[in-house]
Amino acid sequence: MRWSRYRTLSLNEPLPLLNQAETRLSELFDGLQEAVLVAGHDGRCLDANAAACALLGYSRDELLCMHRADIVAEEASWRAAEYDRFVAVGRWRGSVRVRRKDGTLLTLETRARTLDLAGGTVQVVILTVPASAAPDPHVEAEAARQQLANILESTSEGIYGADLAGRCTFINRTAAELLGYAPEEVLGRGLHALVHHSHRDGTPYPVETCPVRTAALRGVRARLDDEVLWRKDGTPLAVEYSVAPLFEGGAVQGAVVAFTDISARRQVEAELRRERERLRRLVDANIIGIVRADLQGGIIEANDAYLDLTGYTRADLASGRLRWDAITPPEFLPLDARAIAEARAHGVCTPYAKEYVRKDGQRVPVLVGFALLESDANEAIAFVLDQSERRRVEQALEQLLERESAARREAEENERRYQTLAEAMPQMVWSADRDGSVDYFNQRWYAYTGQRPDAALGTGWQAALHADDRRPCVERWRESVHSGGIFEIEYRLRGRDGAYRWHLGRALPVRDAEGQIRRWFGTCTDIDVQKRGEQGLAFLAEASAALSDSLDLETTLQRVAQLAVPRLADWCSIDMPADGGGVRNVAVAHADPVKVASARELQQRYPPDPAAPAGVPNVLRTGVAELVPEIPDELLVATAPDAEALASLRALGLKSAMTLPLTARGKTLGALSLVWAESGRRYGETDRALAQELANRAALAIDNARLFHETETALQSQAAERARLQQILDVMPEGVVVVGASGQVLARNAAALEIWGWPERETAPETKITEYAHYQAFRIDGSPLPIAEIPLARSIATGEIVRGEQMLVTRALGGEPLPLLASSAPLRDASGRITGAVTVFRDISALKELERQKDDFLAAVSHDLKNPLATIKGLAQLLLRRANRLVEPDAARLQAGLRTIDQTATRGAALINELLDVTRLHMGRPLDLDRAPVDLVALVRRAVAEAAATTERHVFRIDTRAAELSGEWDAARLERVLGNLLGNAVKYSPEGGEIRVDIEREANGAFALLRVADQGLGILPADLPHVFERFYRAGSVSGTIAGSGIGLAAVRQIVQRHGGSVAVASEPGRGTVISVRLPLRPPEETAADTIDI
Amino acid sequence: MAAAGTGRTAIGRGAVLVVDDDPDMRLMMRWALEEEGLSVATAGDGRAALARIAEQRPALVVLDMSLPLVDGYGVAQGLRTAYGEDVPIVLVTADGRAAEKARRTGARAYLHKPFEVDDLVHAVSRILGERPS
Repeated sequence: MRWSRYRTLSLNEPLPLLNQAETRLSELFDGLQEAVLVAGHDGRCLDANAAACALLGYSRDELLCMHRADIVAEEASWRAAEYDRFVAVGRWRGSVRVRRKDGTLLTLETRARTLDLAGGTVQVVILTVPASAAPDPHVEAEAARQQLANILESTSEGIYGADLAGRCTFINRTAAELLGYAPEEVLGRGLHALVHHSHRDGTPYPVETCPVRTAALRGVRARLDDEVLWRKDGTPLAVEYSVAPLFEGGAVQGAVVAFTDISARRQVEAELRRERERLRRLVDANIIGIVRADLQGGIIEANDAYLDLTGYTRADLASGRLRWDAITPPEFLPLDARAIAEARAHGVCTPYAKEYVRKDGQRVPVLVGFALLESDANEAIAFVLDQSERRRVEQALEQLLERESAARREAEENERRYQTLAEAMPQMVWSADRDGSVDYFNQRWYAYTGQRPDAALGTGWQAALHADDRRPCVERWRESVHSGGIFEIEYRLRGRDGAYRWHLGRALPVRDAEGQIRRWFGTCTDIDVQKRGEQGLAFLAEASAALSDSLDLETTLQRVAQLAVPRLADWCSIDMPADGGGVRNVAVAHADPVKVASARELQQRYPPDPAAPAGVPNVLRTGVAELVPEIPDELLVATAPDAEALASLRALGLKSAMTLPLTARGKTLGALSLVWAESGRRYGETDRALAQELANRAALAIDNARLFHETETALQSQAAERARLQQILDVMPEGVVVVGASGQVLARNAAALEIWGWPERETAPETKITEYAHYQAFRIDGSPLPIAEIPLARSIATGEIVRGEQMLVTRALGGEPLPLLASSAPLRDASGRITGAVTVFRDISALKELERQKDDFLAAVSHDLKNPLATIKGLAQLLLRRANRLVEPDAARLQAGLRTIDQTATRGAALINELLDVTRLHMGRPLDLDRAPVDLVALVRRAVAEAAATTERHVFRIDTRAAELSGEWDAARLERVLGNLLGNAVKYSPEGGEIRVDIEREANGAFALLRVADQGLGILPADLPHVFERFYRAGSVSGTIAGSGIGLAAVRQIVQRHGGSVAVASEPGRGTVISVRLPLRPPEETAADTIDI
Repeated sequence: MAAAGTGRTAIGRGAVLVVDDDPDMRLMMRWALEEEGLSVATAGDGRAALARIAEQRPALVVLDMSLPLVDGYGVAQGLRTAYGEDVPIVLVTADGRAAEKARRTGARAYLHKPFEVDDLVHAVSRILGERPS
């Protein structure tokens, strides 16, 4: 780095290489024994090696700021005598007196020569102390000591000494000041521990590795520039220090340390490093043209980037063809001149934009900046930046701006066009600024409202709105302006003539590119016709509701009249024919009750003439509506019976009127009169249609009210009928309850109350059966019966007719649940819709008791029957064993007989079992399963073997993949299932054939699947749904094949009881398949009910 | 009814006790078991059965559940009180819930009436055969 101070940077030389060379040179330089100084041709010191520093007593940094005249004594005379010769020859040799920093003068042997380097000429000066100048040790000892003391105190370097133990022996003022101590604070103390205890990064600095100690103990010199000394206040001081052993009497007695504060230098160095790094990056990237040029246009040196930029070659440069003034278009030369002037004044110029003409003739925009060389004010180092890219970006930006302004112009143009369009539009158009202030209305607005622009713009338009619509409209508008949402509202707008018409106001925000609302555009569309139609419909709906609400005639009509005001009329009256042939007013309405009263009075004083050719009497007579769009004064004159009446009529200010007949079922029941007065409106044909509709509905209501009065009488007689019915119901022994569709009790008899124990209050109308607090039903097995499953509920929900179902019901009185036999049926209206249900039930406690006895009896009987059978069977088997051992010819017959006895006993027992089950089912008792692990495959094999023994016409096949399929089942009952299914298969295939039994485990693993298929008669589709019903026998076999009709019923009961299901598929003439699905594990039981027999 | 002790005593200690209120059933079962060489004692009601059990520890009890005086459960309970689980029971019943009853009494096997004689014989021999003597 130092080297480059007097060596012009070779611009295209790779820097790392340069660095290496520089470093090596620098080391060599410092290692020289001879003192060497390097100076520029201006005499300024450019470098000095360590020996030179030592000789002259300056630090290097000090020397680098110095000039030859600062060092050489009587420099002026020396220069006058010798310098020209030196410059001319390039070499000089002689003695020179120099002044050391301490002020002492030394005469030194000096050799100097000039050295031409790429960057310019330097002078290298080598100084040696002549042998004759060596001081006399004796004479100079005292002087030297004095000198040393002087040096110590005057030097800007901090110096201290340490003895062999590291204790401070002396310290100069500079050192003490730099370290923040007073000298006496330091003397005699261990210096390492005091100021050298840690490295720069804070890690401990072991004294064993301290160069000061090394110097003191081993006599080794050291020079370091990357260490810190620690000041008294604890802050580090970046120093460069050298340490040398201190000899005394030929032996090392300690060490001396000289140090300088280099914190400032470090900062400068870091700054320079950054600067250099920046430059290096630029140079490395080769994107900046760098050039050394003279101010007259000549280019001395240029890098590749500059050549690329200008399109010239290095050869062009070498031959002098490339000149910066030649490639600068004339118009930029003044700029260059200005920059040069600036540089002459300040050393550098402000970078400026100019252009070059490339060798190929193209122009290239560049940014140029330069600085004059300190060494030669006629030369400059310039950097040149290619601006083409930037120019392109700028151009694009300009185009963008241009486009934007074009767009703006277009938008403005559009707006003008829009305005023209707006004026031409058939509806009112307006616009508002973003704050909602209207700034434009088209001509139509002014034409319709009669407003003047100055009155309408801003918020003045609100004055044209109907008073009732103003507030909602303005609020909605404010809301839209605030939220940016579409504005849309219907309002009445006053026309120039003062009449209001309905309009639909809409407005949309127009947004700019950023989405900000710029302004609003709105329209007002006349929707008066539609709106009135709509209102009419709404009104009619309302009127209908009012009319159907009451069956009282007077009330109804008054309501109609009131509904009509003010929407259909200012005045409304309804008249009906009076009994005596006159006209009777039944309702009058006006917004002002005072006016109503005066109208009534007027009517009473001047009752209309029934024979009048026009008006209410005429409409009542003819049933034809009258419409007088404009009531002329003549009509009032013609109508009014006297002057007073005329005055009153005129005072009413009637403008337009309609009278409509109230017609129902071809009969004119009355007349509805509607009159516009103070509102100034007029009736038209559209109004008449709406009014007629209202009249029709009113007529219907009147008619209904009449009918109601008529039927009321009839209803009263019905009530009597009902009472009689209730009496009959009450004497019935069975409970009867009638409920409506939602379960509310409509009727119940005395028996019902008694049986259920219902409190009277709970059976009041509107009470629902599901709401009885005490009501709780159970199935006959004791499990809870959800309300939705009681017969009544089922009849209502599904229309099911329930015949004689048993259930248990807790009574309000408490006690044991009561067994009931209940039936129910839905009640339907004429259209077949279910409107409720009726249930009939009776207490069957007595019956149940009887059944229980029968049950016990049956159990006892079956038990008593089984014992003898078991004995018969057992003994037959024992005897059979004996017979098997006999050899007599009679043995065969004996065996056959005993076997028959055995089989018959088995069959008898099976029959008893079946009988027991059936009896239980019949009594509503569930089967009590005797579950135990059972292998279905083994069970099937056994059953098939038994079935096979009964027939010779059938072939049996068992199809199973599993060797075993075990589940928790009631083995005896499953045997019965199998016996029944196989027995049926045999029985219903009288021609024989194959009977196949499939057993498999269902894919999910939770069920066993059993199928029994025969090739027999099959079952007719009509019979299929009933085959599992008890005692049901298909028509096709009834009478031809014997059977009880309980087999399949028992099968289903047993399978279902196991939690399984059974299904049948059949094709007449082809055979039947019965499928049984059995869960391997018992499902969760809900009812625990075991009855021992 | 006293123990007959006519046949060979297969297990050295105690006879098979057959308890049933039906005399024909008792006779039939006795024959069946004696044909297998077992020593058989019988009882016609629960109380007689308990007396017999108290008198001599049976090798096995064939027990009908519906008995006069003391029912099958009572007999089973008495048996358990006297000998713990050591004396196996083969349960015989006419109703459909033999498996459950067997679980409740701790019977080792059960038979529905009417049963196969072979099943009775096999059940008894198997259980006695399992027992170390």
